[in-house]
Amino acid sequence: MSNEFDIDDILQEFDQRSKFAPKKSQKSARSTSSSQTIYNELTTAMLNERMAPELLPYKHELLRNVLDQISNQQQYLLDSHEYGDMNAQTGIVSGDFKLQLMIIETDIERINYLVRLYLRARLSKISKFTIHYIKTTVDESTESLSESKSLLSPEETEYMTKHFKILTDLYNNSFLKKMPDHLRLLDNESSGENMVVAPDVNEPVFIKCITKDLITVPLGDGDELELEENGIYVVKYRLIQKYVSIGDVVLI
Amino acid sequence: MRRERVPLWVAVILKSQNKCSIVPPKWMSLAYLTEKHEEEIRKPGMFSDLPWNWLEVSKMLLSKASDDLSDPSHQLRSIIQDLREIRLVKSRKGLRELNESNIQLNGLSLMEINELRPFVLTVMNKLRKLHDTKSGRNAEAEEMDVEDEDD
Amino acid sequence: MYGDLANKLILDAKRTANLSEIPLYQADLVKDIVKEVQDLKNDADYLMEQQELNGEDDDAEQSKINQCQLFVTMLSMTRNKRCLLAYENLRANKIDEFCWLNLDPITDSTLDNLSHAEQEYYKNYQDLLMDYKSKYADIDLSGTLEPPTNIFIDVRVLRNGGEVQTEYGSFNLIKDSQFYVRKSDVERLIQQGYLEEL
Repeated sequence: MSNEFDIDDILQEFDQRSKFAPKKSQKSARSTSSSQTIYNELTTAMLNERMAPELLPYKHELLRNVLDQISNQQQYLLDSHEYGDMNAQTGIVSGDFKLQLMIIETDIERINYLVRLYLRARLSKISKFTIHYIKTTVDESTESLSESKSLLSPEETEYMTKHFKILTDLYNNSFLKKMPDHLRLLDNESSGENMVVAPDVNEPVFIKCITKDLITVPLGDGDELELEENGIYVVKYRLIQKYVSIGDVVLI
Repeated sequence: MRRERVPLWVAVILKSQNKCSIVPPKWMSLAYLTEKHEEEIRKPGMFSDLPWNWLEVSKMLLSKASDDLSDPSHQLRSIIQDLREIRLVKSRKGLRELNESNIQLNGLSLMEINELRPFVLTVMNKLRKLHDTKSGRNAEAEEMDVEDEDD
Repeated sequence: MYGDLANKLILDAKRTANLSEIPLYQADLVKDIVKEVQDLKNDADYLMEQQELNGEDDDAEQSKINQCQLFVTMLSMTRNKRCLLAYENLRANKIDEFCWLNLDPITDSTLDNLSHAEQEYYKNYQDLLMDYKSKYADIDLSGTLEPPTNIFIDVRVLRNGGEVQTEYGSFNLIKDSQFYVRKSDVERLIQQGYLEEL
């Protein structure tokens, strides 16, 4: 065949894309497991985050790995383009070489999209429930949780704190400072009316049960609901909250 | 010729460059889908077992790799449409059972669930509000110890 | 009646919620509502004074009426505050949305519709966003929330043109020839009518 196409190069590159300059001989070492796992974990994390009414704990380790991988791939692309440019005249650079790069680029774009959805879903909840999370995370920081367990990433904490500050300034400058003393605070529980929006954990969510163990969820009034493996249900988020956090149930 | 497993998106790119042909999954055939359709008719109370992403994958294969499929595209499209419709009717019937607390949707695929999602969520949230007001009132009524509400 | 003005404000907010742009800031309405709250505060102070003055001499009936009046006055104040917060909160959210859209720079007409405090907020939020985004250099956070499809596309050349350079090499715009290219590289050429997507 004149148009001989070495699919191994692409497959291999696909497996080892995070490493620079794959050698052509490493055909056997094909284990997509690590990048594939990251991809699946990210997809699950993103869906859970998008579907849960409340903010879920930030996936510190996963995001670190994903971001590392993207930056390695970007670097690989840059280096490869350089290599391509250098050898453009000699005819070494084949169409397949370009195709490989296209696949990497598509891959980056796909992961990029998942990260974007994940982070934006979180930011949107942080913005919607700013005061609520300012209050709840104050407790967290006094308990001095290790960074890897905190609800928000350091970047998100900074975003939230600053956002709260400029919002408060806005309300104050717009009208609060002209209010009588007892109404001047942004959140004034003594005025009898709670103005802090908090997530509604009773919202119904779509779930898929992915554990082999039977899960029994109490519905109140003595009723209960059994969740079987691969079963799909719509239930109140509150009832399955803990199973989402241990990964027995995913939101869809 | 070699066979390799790659993610669908990679296969589609390679296919678009004429670098590969795609081996369709075994359910993506007229015979298989027709059998599933018959099963849907035979068992009105349940959904036949189809892959989680059957609608998405079949659409992709039909549009990007129709020449790799074992049966003519128009026949596949038509049986997929039939299957989809009969399942939609079933799921609509199932929705009569909708209540404020929970519902089971076993057997539906992701795309089919997404079609139901807006309706299910709106109704369940409305029912939830009604339910909350009702139980709130009941609680009050009990406190005041008025008549029974047996009816 | 007390509360009517705040109602107007809420109606405006409701309309705003469905608009793609941010309408003019209701400066007068906000000012009037703040004034109303101050009036209500004076009323409340007066009622409390009365209560203290009359003390126990007052008959039970009259004191009940006073208490009720005071209660309603307080509630009206709180409600006004709540409406003001709701109004401003909605506008702040809209401003946030605008910043995410990456319309650079924001159109003057929109800026004109903002109050002074809002303009300040707009600037601050943009800085805040820049800060946050800069932590994720490789992620295009304000990119589209639609799934990526067709990062590479087939195009056909409609008009003759010169050579085009991309990271993936160069190609010549010769009528009726076809290429497989990165969409973002040729978006402009498609807009200019040199290429069509197949």
